[in-house]
Amino acid sequence: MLTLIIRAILIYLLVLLVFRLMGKRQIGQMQPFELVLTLIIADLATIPMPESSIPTLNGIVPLITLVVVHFFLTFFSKRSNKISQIVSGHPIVIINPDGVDYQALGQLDITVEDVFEAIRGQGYFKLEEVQYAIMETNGVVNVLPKSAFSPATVSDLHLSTQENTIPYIIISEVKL
Amino acid sequence: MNKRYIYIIIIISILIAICIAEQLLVNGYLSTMETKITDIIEYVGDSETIDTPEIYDMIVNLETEWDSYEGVLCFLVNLKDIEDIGIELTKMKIFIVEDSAIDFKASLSLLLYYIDGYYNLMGISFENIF
Repeated sequence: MLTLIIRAILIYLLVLLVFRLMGKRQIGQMQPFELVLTLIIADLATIPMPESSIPTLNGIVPLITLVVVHFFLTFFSKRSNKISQIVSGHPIVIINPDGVDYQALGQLDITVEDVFEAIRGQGYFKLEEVQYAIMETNGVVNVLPKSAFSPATVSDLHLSTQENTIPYIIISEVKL
Repeated sequence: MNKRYIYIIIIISILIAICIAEQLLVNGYLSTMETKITDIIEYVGDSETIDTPEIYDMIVNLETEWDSYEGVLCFLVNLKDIEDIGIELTKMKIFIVEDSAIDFKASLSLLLYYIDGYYNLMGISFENIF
């Protein structure tokens, strides 16, 4: 039993390290290859945990191999648009000034209802309010509203303001 | 240099080191076992009697050696995949005591078969990958 406890702690710490190495985006919104990696890591990590006869290395080695693969995929994706498009795809405009692009919807295999659900999530309930809607490579839909329906900003109102600063925490957990 | 690059280089080095160590250890251990088993086969030859202290000592030494190898190999392979040799060696001691020459010689051949199987199991091959 002690062996299992030590293995579980070891593998948990390793998975934590792996996610730290891969960056914050893994915890936030993921590209498809990052999602695949996250799913596989979860599975790989649990293989040697309950089974004492399986060496811990059988879980560790594939895990760190995937970290290396992920690193190279990210590395080459950053340096080559072509590779980035192959790995992650490219953003697709689903609503343009002419309206809903049904060809794009067919390409993405989504329905108009899905599009409206996505733009409602952004706070726009009418198609007339949207100039462009773009489905990003991670599946998120971002909306550019028409000028008339954009939220007013301080510069629109020609008001003078002070620049914002980051607030500093002076006392935390009863410590200065 | 970006810290991440350093970590990746370290990880790749570790992976390469593990692969090389595995190949060296596995090949070394298995070839040593193969040599010793072949020596025992040659020593026994066509003899009908195997209940001798020399043969018993050879098997005990082989078992002790395999136990030490197993201790290292268990870091690299599933224990259940390599326990057959240990089981067979234990049986062979009984065969010696019972003077069952046929069973003893069959076990020797079986040991060589297992070792051949382990070479395939632990090495890189098309069958292992797919």
